[in-house]
Amino acid sequence: MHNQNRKEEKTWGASGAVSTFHTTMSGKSNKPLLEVKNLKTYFHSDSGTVKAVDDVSFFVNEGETLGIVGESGCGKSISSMSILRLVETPPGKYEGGEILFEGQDMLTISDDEMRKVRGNKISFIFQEPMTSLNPIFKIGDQLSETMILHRGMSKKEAWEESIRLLDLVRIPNPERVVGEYPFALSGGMRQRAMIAMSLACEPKLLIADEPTTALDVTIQAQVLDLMNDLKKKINASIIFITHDLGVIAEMSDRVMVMYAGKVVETASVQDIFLNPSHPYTIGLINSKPDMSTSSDRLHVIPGGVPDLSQKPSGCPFHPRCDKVTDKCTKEFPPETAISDQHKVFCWACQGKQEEGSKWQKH
Amino acid sequence: MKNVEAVAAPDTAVKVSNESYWGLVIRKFRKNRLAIVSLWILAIIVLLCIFVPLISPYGMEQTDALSREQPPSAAHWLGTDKIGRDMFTRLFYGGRISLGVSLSVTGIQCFIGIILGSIAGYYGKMADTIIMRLCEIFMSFPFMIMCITIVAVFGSSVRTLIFALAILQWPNIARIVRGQILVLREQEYMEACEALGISDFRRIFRHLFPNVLAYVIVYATLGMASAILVETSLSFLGLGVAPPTPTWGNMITEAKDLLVIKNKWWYWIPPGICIFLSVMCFNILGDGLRDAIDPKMKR
Amino acid sequence: MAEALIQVQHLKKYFPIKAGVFRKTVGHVKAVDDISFSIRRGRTMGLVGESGCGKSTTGRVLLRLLEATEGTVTFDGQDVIGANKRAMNSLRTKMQIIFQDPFSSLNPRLPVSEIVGEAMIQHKLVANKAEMKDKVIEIIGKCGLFPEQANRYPHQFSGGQRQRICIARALAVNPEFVVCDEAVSALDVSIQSQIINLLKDMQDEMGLTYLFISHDLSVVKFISDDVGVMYLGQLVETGSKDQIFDNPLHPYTEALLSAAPSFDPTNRQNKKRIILEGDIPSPAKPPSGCRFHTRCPYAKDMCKEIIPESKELEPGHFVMCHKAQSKF
Repeated sequence: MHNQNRKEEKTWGASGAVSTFHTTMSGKSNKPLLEVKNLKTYFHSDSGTVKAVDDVSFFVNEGETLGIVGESGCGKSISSMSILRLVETPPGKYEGGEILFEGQDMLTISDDEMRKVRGNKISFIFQEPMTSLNPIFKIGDQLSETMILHRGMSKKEAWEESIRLLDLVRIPNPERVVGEYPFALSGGMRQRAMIAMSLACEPKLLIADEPTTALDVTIQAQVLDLMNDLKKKINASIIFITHDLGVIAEMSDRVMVMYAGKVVETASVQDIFLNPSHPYTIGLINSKPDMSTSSDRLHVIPGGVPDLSQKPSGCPFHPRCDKVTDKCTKEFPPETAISDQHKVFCWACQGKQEEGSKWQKH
Repeated sequence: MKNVEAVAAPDTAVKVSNESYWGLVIRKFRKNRLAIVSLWILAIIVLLCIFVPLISPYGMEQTDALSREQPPSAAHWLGTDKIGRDMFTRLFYGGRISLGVSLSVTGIQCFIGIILGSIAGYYGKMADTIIMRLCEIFMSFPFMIMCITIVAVFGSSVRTLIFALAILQWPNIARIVRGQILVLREQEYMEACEALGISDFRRIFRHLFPNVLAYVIVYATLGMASAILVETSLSFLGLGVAPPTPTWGNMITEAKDLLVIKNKWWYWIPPGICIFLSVMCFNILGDGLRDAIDPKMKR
Repeated sequence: MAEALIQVQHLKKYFPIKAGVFRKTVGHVKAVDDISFSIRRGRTMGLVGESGCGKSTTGRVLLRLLEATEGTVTFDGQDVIGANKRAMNSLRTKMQIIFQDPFSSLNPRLPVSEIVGEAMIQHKLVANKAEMKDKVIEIIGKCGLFPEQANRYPHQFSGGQRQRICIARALAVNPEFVVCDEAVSALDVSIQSQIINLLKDMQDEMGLTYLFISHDLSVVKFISDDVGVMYLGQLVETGSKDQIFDNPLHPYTEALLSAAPSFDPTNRQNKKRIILEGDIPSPAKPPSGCRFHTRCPYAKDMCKEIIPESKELEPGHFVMCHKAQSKF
């Protein structure tokens, strides 16, 4: 027993983390708040059909943060925008699947019902706060608007609530800022105001699409710290979309890795970083220089991110994969469950069971 | 061993053909059916104008005293006017003048506009200030009144008309060229040129100019349309080309009379259709070119 | 210690702020305000900082893409700032730059062979077009492109490949010094590592000296030998990579390092992070005294009034901070 413990400590790095992780998970209810099944969002254009989201399934539990990570064109933004039907149609088209939120299929409800969900039960934080805030209205007006609309507040109540929300997102002098126009705020402040806006109706689900990508490192740290803090306070589920693995490691409970419109791996944040299974996940983690290690050359995934209108057959990653077999070029692999939470879509990983966590860094 | 990483995987982002920038523009333009149709219509009008002496047995000024004010017939496809001149012949001789005037006006205004706009955009500072103020002065002249004045001073002729229109309209092109150059100058490839020590001459003619040219072509096409309209209006007012030289505007002027409009449709409908078609086609063509050249400019 | 290839002394670049009908200068944005550093031959200096700190301006002033307001830059002992047109023209082949945006940095109207080769002809590095073509194929081959791609146009390439073309263009004139201005920031992670490796390979092969400007600390740590940290136009700390990353002495460097998200999800609970208060002040109105005092967790009264000097606290490790210089 003693021996085993030691071994675990060696491979895991911090044995304490395992137990913290399990307790935090069990503390949350495992009822899915949102369930996306076989979603297909395609774009039709002259040059062919772009399968931006191609048969994607995932779920978000209550109070959980799901991180979606992937490179440009992997479909991470389109899948999240599909949840609120924000994809412009045409050229976009929802070709199939279900998006179940509180028992309702978001793809079939009427536009009126959808408006009741947007900004109310599900809210969105965009990457560029300047373009998502209306420049001609005061911050307070924009915050109040949704509260008057969805929560039936009077103008005065909403204004007071706006000040409270700005304070909640740690904006200094909220009484002054509430009367400012967006251009008077810095990038970091605007993103906080956006977060305040998204919290205005106490949403059940918050979708944050690259919310810190446009920000400087020290400002990003402020916003991430704020979001982590709010997570505990508001108990909403969060879908956090980013290309930055570091941010994913900081923010999420569970991670979904996407590549060329497909989900390739999904697992708890620990498993993704300590025991990645899909060759793409491994490559992605290894190709980023890590602050804590130093080596002479970076690991490289050969080739380039594919153009989605000419997606490779079978597993779309096969032209860049070092474990490619004949099968990979023909058929997309079925789900392989490495553990209860750890699912991977890869022919090479079939039959792979949890072999204990280890760093795959080389 | 190195760089195997780039070579190992087939490159999905690259299409096989070596298509140049203009090749790409033409391919995109071809997909725009409306624009292609417009191009054909314009081509037909232009060809008719060029070959009208071969098609028509009549001369431009040739009168036929026996058949005056005749409706269209086998002998006179579009009828005759009140002194017995063949309308079909006059229509396309008139087209020569109308289109010719528009083309010259556009040509001259592009010439002046490109030169002054380039100087203003590339060298900036004083040159920019002087040229832009000049543009503003020219653009603040009341257009019609200036035309009337110029025609009154120099007498009405094709040459005066071209001169008047070009002198009043070059600031449009100059401003577009200057704006484009200002945008292009900020592009990192222009900075790279500077870092590489590429000469001014190459920078202007190999890097800036081809990029500006695309926009000039678009606006010149749209400019053709407006030039046709302006020429027509001025001729209609009697300030354009003096009769008996036919232009589309002059021909419509002859149908000013309400009785003529009511009873002698062949006086004004054919030139009307020609004006309408050529203006519309130039506009569609311009829009099509713009979409092909720069999809971002689409409004 | 190798000789210094690039010497920068008291470099300043002020941009005038103009206002009013007569465009009168009402103030200055002090984008680069009195910085000094040197880069040794064959080494890489990383320059980090947040937006508006003047790191890109520094790179451009070094190459005279922007004219310096004050100060000197020497390349291999040769004055750059005061160089006349002819001297500058020959310096152009020795100092190059790679930009961030792989899309706006290539002229869409020209084929790759001309983009890469035009400077060779301009500087008479090749005798004729045929020789240029051979050289272009050689250099793009080194950068990981195929010979037949020389005739293609930029729009036919992906972002990563375009960045390879940019590198080929810069290296075509056989430079000794290359400024990489956020050269990998716009690329996807998997492409980023390819380009970083390529830059390293080319450095080994051609003995290049780099000034690597980036906001991404992990990339800078990977590629650099020395690192400079900029804040609001000033170089607040310089030193070797190990000095900066293992023993940061300036509170800003410390905060910057701790702000970078870590990859290890297991230690996120126990990691203590320094969260800086407030925003980056505008470089048009920098704070008095030490420019960092408005956000510094250790700031004392003297920081508001006295501008700290840059002092060498360890061999090669310069810091501009009262606290680090143990004045309090």
